Amino acid sequence: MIRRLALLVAMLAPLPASAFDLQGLGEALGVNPDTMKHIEQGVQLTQALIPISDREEIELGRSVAARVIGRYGLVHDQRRTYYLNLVGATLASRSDRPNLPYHFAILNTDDVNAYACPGGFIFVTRGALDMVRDEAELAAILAHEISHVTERHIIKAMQHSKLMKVGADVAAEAFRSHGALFSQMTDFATDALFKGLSKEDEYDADAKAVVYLDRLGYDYRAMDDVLRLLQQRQRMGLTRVLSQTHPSPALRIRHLDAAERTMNLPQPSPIRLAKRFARYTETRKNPS
Amino acid sequence: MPYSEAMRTLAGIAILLCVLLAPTAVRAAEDGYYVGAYRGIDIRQSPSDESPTVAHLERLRSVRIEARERSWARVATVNPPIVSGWVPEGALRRRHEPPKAHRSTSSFFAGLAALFGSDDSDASKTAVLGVRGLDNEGDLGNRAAPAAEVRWVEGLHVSDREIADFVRQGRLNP
Repeated sequence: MIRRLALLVAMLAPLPASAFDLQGLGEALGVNPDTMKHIEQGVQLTQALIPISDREEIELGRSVAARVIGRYGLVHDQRRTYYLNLVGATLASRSDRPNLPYHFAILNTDDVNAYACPGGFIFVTRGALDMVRDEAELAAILAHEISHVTERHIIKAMQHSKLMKVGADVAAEAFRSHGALFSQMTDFATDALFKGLSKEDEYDADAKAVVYLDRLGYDYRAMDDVLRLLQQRQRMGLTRVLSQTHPSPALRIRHLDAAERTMNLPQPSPIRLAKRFARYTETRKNPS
Repeated sequence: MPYSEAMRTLAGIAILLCVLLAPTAVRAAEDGYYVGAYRGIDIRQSPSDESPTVAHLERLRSVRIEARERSWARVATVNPPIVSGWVPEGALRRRHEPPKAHRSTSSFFAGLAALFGSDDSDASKTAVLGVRGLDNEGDLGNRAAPAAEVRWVEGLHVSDREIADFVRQGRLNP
C-alpha cells in the first residue's frame, strides 16, 4: 500500500497542482480523505517553488508601487526625497541584496507607516518622516523596510500561495505578458502590503534592521526608540493603519529585546546624526 | 428491523431533511447584487476559504445570488462570460446600496477606539472584503499611479560616489 501511495506521489509531483483535483481523485479511487490529505502534502513538498528572478521581482514591484502611489500620492520635495535616498541607498549598499536598484519616496499622508514593495521600491509616509527625531531613527525605519526586500517576505508568501501553483512556464509568461495572472500577483502583493505581513516577518525585519544599522555604525538602539515612538503614537490613536498591519509596538519591543540578546552585538555607537537630519528636513513643514 | 418500520424511519428522515433544507431550497435566485469588495473577489468552488478559486470577479460586476450557506453566497454573473461559484456574502452589495464611502469615524473616535483596543472589531468587519489595513479608504485601492509618477520614483537614484561622501561626512563605517 505504502509503495502504491509513494508511486502516486511520484506520478503527481511533476504536475502543477491546478492540473488535477486530488480530493476528487481520492474520492473516485475510494481512498480515505485523511490519506489523501497526506498524499497532497507529499505532492506539495516534492513540488519545487517557482523561482522568481530579480528582474521579475522588480517588474512586480513596479506594478505594486504604482498602486501604493495611486493610493496616497507622492510628496515631490526634492531635498527630503534626495536625503531619504541617501540614507536608504547607503543602508541598502550594506544589505544582503546590495545589487537591487532601490528607490525611496515619500507618501503624502499623515499616517505613520512605511511600505516595501518587491524589488526595492520603498515608501515612507510624511507622518513617519515627521515623527522621527534623527537620522538613526530614519535609518531604522528604512532598514526595517529594506529587510522585507532582502528577505523577500512578499515574494516568499506569493511563492507559497495557490496563485503560483500554475507551473513555472505559466508564471514566466505572466511576467512577460503582464496578463491576468500578473494582475493577480500584483493584487496579492498589494494585499500583503496593506493587510500586513506575518508577525514573524515583522519581528524578523526588526532584528535584521538592527544588524544593518550596526553594520553602518549607527546607534542600533534607534530601532527600539522608533518602536517606543510608535507606542506613544498608538496610545494617541495616530497609528490606525499601522496598528492593523503590524504587531503592537509593545510586542515588537519584547521580541527585539529577545533577539538582540542572541545577536552578540557590540556596544552601541553614539552616532544619531540629529543635526544632519534637521538640515535636510528643515522644510518639513512646507511639503510641496 | 421489519420492512415497514425501516420505511417509516426513512420517511421520517426525509421529512426532517425537507424541513431543514427548505429555506435554501425554495429560495428563488436573488437579482440586483454586485461585487462591492474594492479589489474584487475570488469566486470559489465551494463555500470555504480553502476551496479552489474558480475565477476572480472584478469590483462592480453584477451577480445573481442562487443560494446561501452560512456566510457564503453561491453567485452567478449576470452578463457573459458567465461564471458561478461561492463568495463571502460580505463581499456583495445590493444595487440600491452605494459602495461604502470613506471612513466617517472622526480621529477623536478612532483615537478612543485605539485606546480601548477596539481596532480588532473594525479589522474583522473589513476582513470580509479582503482588506484589513486600509479598510474604508478602499475605493482608492486599485487606482494605479500615472506612469510618470512611477518613472519619477524610478529615477530616484544616488551614485556610489554620493554614498561614499555621505558615509564619510556622517563618520559612518566605510
